[in-house]
Amino acid sequence: MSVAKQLAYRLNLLLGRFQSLIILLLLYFLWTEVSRSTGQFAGLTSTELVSYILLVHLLRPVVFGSLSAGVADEINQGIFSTYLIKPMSHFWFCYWRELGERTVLFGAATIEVLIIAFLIKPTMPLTVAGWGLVLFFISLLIAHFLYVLLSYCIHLLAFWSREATGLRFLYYWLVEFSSGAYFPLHIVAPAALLLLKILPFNLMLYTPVMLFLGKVPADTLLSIILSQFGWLAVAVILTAVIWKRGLRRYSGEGI
Amino acid sequence: MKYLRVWKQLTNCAFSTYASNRIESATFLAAKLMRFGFLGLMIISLFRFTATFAGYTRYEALLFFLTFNLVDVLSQALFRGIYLFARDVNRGNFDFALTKPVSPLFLSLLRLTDILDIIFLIPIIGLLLYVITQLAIPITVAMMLRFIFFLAVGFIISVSIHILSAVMTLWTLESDNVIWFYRRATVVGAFPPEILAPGWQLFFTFVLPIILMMSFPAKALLGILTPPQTFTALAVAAFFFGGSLLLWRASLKHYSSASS
Repeated sequence: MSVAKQLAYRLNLLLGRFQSLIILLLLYFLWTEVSRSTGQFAGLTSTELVSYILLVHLLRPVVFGSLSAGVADEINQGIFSTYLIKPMSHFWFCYWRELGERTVLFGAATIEVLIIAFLIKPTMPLTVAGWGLVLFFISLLIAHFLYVLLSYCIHLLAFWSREATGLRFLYYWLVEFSSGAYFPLHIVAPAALLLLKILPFNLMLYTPVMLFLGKVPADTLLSIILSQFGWLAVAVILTAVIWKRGLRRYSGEGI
Repeated sequence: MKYLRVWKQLTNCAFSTYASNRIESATFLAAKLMRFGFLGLMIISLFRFTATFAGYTRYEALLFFLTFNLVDVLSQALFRGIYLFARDVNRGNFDFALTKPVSPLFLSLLRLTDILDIIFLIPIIGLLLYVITQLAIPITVAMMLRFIFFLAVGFIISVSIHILSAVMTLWTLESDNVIWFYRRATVVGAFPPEILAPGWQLFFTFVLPIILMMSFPAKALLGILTPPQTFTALAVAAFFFGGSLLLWRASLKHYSSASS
């Protein structure tokens, strides 16, 4: 149904993809420009920089989603009540519903990356292999669920306040930038990098992509994956607590 | 004067809305500041590894970034109403705009003043003035006047694009993404246009004139805008503004009020 919904509004889908494509092109030109004279920038070669932005573009729909039907809106409008009488977990219902949208967007992103790759013919450095590749996929899977859980938590805050849209907007931009979707995080000053590393969002895109590029020192691999598992556990507990407490406050207002 | 009074009243209403949703307003403002801060951080960070960016110094690159923010935020502050236009049309609320004794275009564009963006303009203008004082070249009154003139040209183009977005909504009924597409694309204006390939520079100058709107004022201030570029800017602005008004009129005739 989510796929059908995406394809029903074709102009919106097309314009949405054009938005992403423009950002991709802009980032491509930006990182090509900064590495033009020396062939490298901030420890990454031109090829690695291009690979970084293409991978980010490809992995965006895998990691980031929109919880398309708007859980917070459903809570505020009372539509949420209908889920309480259904014999299924609300979280998993939202998850599978969103997966349809993600599938369409991932398909579109793949085509876009192939077109760009055809035009610019980058050499994708596949420096990871064997266990490195396995770690990359594990890291990506954790990043995916970490985003889903934290995003779900933000939506559930609607149990406490009708004014949750601003918070979601704030969360959106925080994740966009501190996940490394716009720039490799290590280009910022050490103090800012420390702050970004404390937050869990760097584990969503920056970490998997750097793993794929083979830019993570071997001695830190284990600690990074453990850190991802740690944050995932925190997100699971947080979701359970917010869900339980939120349900107690829910009054079905708006039915 | 009548339109000014209407706008003042609409702004008062918007202020009441923002004041009554204080948490929402605070978090939205924080999000805007965060987006601004992160993009600024990204540009400043580039200069940790390079002395120039597309041939521009750090303060010149920041001038492009802040000019982009000024045009972008000012447009959003005034024309936030257009973001609600698709919903109004789909729900039939646009019919009410047609029955009022003011221009429906005026009402659709200016029905919601974004108070948060008005507040946001204060730090942007402050930082812009600071960056201008840090430029290596001496800034004269004539250069400042040229800067303001091209800001006005950019603003006219911005108005036109907002009108064209409304036109698209009237024709397609599913185009709330048109304005979001424009919003996302404007980020191109945050960086010096020279980073783009020549073909894309042409695209963002003539087809979707973001470079004209957001980069030309900065270039005018830096004194690197040629006379042909100046005439081009004026011609494109006139074409977009005239064209958008004509299309708006044609769209109103096409509007069937089917949703109401």
